[in-house]
Amino acid sequence: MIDYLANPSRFFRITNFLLPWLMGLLITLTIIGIYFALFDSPEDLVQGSAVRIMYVHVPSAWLSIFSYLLLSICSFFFIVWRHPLADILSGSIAPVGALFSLLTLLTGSIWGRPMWGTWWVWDARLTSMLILFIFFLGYIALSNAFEKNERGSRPAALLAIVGSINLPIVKFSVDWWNTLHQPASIIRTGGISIDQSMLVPLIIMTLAFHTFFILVVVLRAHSILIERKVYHLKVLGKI
Amino acid sequence: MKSKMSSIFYRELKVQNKSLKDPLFVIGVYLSLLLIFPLSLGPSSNLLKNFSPAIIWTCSLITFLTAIEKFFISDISEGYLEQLFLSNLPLSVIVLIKALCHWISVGFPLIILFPLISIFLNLPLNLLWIICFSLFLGTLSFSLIGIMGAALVLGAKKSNVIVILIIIPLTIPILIFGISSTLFCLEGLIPYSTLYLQCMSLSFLLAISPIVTSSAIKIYLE
Amino acid sequence: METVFNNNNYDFFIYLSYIITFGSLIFLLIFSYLKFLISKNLYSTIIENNNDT
Repeated sequence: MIDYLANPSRFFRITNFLLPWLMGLLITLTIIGIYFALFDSPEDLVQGSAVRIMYVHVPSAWLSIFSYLLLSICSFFFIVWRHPLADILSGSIAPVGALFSLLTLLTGSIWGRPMWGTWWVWDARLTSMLILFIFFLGYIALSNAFEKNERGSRPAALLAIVGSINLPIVKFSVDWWNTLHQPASIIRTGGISIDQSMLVPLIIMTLAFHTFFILVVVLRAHSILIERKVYHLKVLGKI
Repeated sequence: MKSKMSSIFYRELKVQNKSLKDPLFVIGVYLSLLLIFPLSLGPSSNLLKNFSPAIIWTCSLITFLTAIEKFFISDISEGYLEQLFLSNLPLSVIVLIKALCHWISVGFPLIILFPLISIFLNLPLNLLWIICFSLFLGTLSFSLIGIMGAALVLGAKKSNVIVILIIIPLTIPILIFGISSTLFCLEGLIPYSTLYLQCMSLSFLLAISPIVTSSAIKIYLE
Repeated sequence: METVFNNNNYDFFIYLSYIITFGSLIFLLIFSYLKFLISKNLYSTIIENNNDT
């Protein structure tokens, strides 16, 4: 199936057809999700209504990790098989992933202020998420650094592959560093075993965020494809 | 092949240390960065002792980052890089030699100077050699990461900003392991576990960095 | 069933986080959609010009 979709013009036609459906699905899921998250779900015993922030924070975290994984896989495909569409997809995923990791940091910080009393704490997961955000920034910077945009695709793919091997090491080292310097209080995370009434809004919001991800990546991939076609037509002198 | 490697090695050493004053400049950069911390923390020796591992490693990282994006520029402008590419020697070996020479020019003076720095920071001196060893492992890793970052931004505009943005997430595990080693040493324990972790990251980088750097150089030369 | 009543008012934080999240997501969506429309427009005008000449 990857081979079937991998032809750029076929990708074009199929996604052109899918765009209105994706938009409709996104709006439906978002409205249902917000209704469930803000109005219909119960409050937490200890955290009160602030648990509603979890319905935005956790999907952002999941989506940032998901986009990072997808970025590494597309970069790997690009380096090994030199497929042009893989590079275009990586370039589209990077800004979305950066936004999601930034949102995770911001919503987590806003959630932390009423819960723990501080805006920021050097927890292992927060530090790893910050490093992930910086990694996305570095990827975007490197891929846009060259005058001809296609020149930047292979160094950026190399960076993504090195980063994908490096980020588990970073996660391990930050975890280890955090246990070494364990703060006096134990930070309370959101409930581990989650009730079904809380699970439903979480799943719906996650699905909504996934649909958003696919929609924005497809839109950006389209624009990049068209830009590259126009550039090549100019180079060939057809315009 | 051995004579080729040794000739490349000596040429690299000469290029990176044009005069005998170059290691002194590196030491000067390190000392001036080091000077900032006691001046900002206040002269009481307690705070300095608590922060000294972080100070040592941060200053060495910044010293490595100061000239790293210009690493290949003189080679490219002279056409030396294309010559190396056409020679029989595999590009990864050449990259390894370059990284080793970079370490000899920048990291080795730091390690030689380290006993003096420990006097500045009022560090206890019994496990000094182990701190030097962990600094050796860490600075060699910094050289390898730095040469990889410099190769990735070859030919880019604003490369001095981008190269730092790329390199710092990659150096974070090395910083964490190195600072933990130094912390343990300062408390009087021999940090076997963190030294193993440092050796692990160094061997990992020895494997990955030449491959990635040579691919990036080949991308630039196309 | 007795309900536990929590006196703290977290509404400000909830509104802040939801507005930041959905605001930035909508912003990114609109931005990408505008980019998409502009490039589509550009491409169709180029195809028209090529077909004319």
